[in-house]
Amino acid sequence: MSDIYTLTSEIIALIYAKDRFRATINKLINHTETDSKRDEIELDFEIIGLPQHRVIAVRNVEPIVICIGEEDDMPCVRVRNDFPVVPHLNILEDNITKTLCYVDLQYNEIKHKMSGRFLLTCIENWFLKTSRNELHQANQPLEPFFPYSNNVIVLDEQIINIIDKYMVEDREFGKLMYRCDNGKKYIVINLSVSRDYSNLIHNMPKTLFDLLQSFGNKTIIEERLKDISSIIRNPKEYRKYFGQSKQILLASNVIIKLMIPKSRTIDATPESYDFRTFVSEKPLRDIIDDYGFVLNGSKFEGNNKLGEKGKNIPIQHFNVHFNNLKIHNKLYNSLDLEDGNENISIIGVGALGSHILNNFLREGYGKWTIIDNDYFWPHNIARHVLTNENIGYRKADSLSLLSKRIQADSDIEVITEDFFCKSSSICNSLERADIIIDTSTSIAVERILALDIKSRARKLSCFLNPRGTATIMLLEDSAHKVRLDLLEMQYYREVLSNEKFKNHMMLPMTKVYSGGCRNITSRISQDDVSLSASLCSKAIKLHLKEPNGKVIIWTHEDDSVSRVVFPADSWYVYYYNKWIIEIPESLLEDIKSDRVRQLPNETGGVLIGAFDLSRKRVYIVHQLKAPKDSIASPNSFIRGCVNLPEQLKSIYETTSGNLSYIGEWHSHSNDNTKKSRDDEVLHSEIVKYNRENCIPGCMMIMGEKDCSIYVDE
Amino acid sequence: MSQSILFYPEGNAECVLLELENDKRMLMDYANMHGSDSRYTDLADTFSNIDKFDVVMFTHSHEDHVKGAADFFYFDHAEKYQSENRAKINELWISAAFLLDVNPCEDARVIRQEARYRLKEFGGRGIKIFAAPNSLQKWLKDNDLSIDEGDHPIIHAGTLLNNSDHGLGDMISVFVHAPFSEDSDDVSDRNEPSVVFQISINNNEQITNILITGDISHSVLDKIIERSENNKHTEYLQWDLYDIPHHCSYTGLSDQQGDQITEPSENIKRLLSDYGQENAIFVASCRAFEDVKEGDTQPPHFQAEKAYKKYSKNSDGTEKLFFVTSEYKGKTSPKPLRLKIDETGICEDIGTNYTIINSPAPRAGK
Repeated sequence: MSDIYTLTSEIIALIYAKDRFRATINKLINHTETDSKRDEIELDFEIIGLPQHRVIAVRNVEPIVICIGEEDDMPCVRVRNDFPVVPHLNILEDNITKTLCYVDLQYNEIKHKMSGRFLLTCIENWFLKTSRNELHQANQPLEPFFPYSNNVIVLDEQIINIIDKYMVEDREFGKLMYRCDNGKKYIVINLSVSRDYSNLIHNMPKTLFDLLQSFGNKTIIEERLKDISSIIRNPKEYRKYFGQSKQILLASNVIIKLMIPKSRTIDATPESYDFRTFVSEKPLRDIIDDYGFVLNGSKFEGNNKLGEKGKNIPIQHFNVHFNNLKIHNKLYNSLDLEDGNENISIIGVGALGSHILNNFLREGYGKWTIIDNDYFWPHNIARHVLTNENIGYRKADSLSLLSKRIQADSDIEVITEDFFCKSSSICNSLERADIIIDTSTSIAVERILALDIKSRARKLSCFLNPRGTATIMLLEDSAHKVRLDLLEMQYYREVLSNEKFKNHMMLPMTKVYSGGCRNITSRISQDDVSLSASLCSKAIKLHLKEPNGKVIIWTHEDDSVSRVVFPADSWYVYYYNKWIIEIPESLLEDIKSDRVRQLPNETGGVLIGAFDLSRKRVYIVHQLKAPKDSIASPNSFIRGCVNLPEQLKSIYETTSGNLSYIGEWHSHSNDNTKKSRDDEVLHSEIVKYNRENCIPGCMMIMGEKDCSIYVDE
Repeated sequence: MSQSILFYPEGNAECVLLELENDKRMLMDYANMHGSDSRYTDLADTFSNIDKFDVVMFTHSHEDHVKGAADFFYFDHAEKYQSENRAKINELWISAAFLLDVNPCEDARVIRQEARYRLKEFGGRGIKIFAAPNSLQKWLKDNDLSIDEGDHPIIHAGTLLNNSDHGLGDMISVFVHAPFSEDSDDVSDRNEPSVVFQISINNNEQITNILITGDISHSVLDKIIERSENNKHTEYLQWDLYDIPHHCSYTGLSDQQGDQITEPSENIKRLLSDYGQENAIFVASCRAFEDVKEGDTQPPHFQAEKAYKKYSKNSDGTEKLFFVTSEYKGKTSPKPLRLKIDETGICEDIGTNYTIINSPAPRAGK
């Protein structure tokens, strides 16, 4: 027995033990003596536990042959030739030999547990479940109508041509056939077949006759010949397909496309379709000859031979794969087909934007317009979805090409103009959009979207913090009340207010990638970029369903992510001269409370915020309360300065200079918020101080009922 | 719904336990042969967690059907059999011949005394006596009991017992084939008046019939077949499980052992071929065939086994399953044979199959 494989000896030992399994070995041939180079054990195998009343006539004792090869060779189990045709029974090419499909996983997935006991248990399990007709589980997809073969044809679901060009290439797995303008001409026949509810794998037809016979169709070829006749009769149409030569028509092979509806039971409606394609190995000339025809002019006439109806026309089977469409991507991503039909404009497809777009394209989500005028260079490869074949091309154009490889029906639009030029095509696109995603990582772009662009679209900005350790999403509310610039200010305030975000805006190492002084790139991790993109694409789908505006900050921990969601603040607007001043309701309430708390004395504090000088906008975001050394009386307030410089420095650093000192506030004990003489002096001091920092000076006076805000340059 | 019937390996001895889904238990014979051969199951140990059987039936009073009963069961008639760990018998079923046995073995004597006690002291509760021979009348009279049969739980051959009679549940009925009253007087061979019945179990309209035959000889079997056929009640002869009589002795088939095969009577051939259902099962409560040495006349007899297999083939010509209790899972350490009865009929119970190869891999992301 030294010449047999280990698995063979395990099986023999189990059978001799007569404990768990009951079988009689009739013959054992070792692999050195078999054509298949496998050990073959012929057994009478008793199926222990068979039900008395069986749906499928499995016998108490079944003759089987277990064939065992090398370690990587999945053991095969042959059954008697007259075993009923049932699901999960392979019928080999000779259409006689039957083997068990005893596992539905790839062999590699079960190899680690393969043993004699496991194999015999699998065999027993197959027979037991088959006897009850329960091997095919209710939640398991239906069996394929035909066995799979090695060849593959990639079809385009939407294209139905009678004559089409296909390329056939030899690949490692077999033949690959696909539509191609440079390909060879084929006559394409769509064969309608009736619903199949057998859930059985049928014998593979070898000839055109077998194929048509198995579906009871005897006339399809004659019918299609009539169609071809009509093409021949129409010179214009004929030339379109074949030029001048009739020989090209007759030399064309035939593709027969099948769509087999399959249902689980005789009464059930089809739950799936089996798409199959067969290609004749002989051209039309031989097919018409075998059908007893000859082409005479435009007519197919009898050739005085007894037609063999395709018996002499061998056919080759091709498994069908369909080019991926948006709808397929949605299905495979388990998205609702009703979702993601919006027009979405994405501005900036750098590292983050390209990854976000890539996610959405693969999900079949959205009708996209890319706005980006940037080129793709080698240093981008580290964190972009494009590769070195795209170097020197515009990122937007290359992503558009990529999208067609992801979705055969991609309808992506591309605008490669500078966003800041606010061209009509950009403005039109944004006006048409339902959603605008700003992944430009540019505050300027965000401000334009927030303040300068007319669009009914819901806008959002996604970006990473400078070191790539956090992802931020600013999402406008559906009523457009809380704009992106206000959300940006709120984001800075949250960064200031949370100890957790102390190092949030710390600057990273950068690297100059080319000659220009602006040609620097940050050194952040692709892990963080792709993580960030996934967080964003997931959150966009989720949060757009809700009307509220919000700021979301995800912190990328070492190997996990934590998230904080801040509902959007309400903002008050004040106007002074040509300035528009905005302050969040929560801050205003805080200042009011401080005033009341200190009555009858006046009180005050330092205003922290930002200016947008070009738009003459002031954002008051935060206050530093009156320092301890402040002097207050019912008619005056002199703000102290204990610890103030340190606090301002900290604010500047924490927000990377996005928030800073913008002025002062103080209270009046009555409802008069006009500037007193002292207030005039104070304001001019503020203006003078701020002039050093190239910003105007802001002063707020909080009275009993309301406040006044003064801005002066 | 499903039930189990278990056959214990006890050599040429019998013990069969029927476990119903409603948790009721019916035990047919109790012969614990572990003491004489350690390969066999120690029933007292196996049943140690069972505190009550709903029905315990002894087919007859031979030791190979009662061995160890006196040490295992709780008996009401004497305090010495009433320790806490003993299993109680809700209803005891024995033949009239057993009740009247004059010189039984010790275990049978204790059972007989219990039956007599229940007849006398319990007013017939917790006891059924099968057949009413003339000698029973005399015994009743001698023991100052009513001689009116109707005053006692006497069951005649030909009676169908339903839930109201046996209390085991609506899904089960028991048709009593034997003993016949006329065979229960002046018994010379205790095997002859064995209790024989057909248990019929209904699982969602799938009926499974079990023939329990004790140690009866072919002549009693012939009579049973004739009676049922004459009365046009052949449904009571149908079997999906045939508990082979008398440890697979040729006597269950014929007077003549035969050289290569025992040739049964025509009646028995019909019982095997016509009344045996498709894919039905034989169980022989007996020794391993390999333990039968040359010159050993005791059962099992291979000639009988051949006959059972030959005359009971399935429609496709294959043999019916044939289990020998003391060979099940190896004769050196045989295991109890558990058969499962459900809406698919009867089959060998192999327990839960943990092979999960048909489940998809529990990982995604390919």
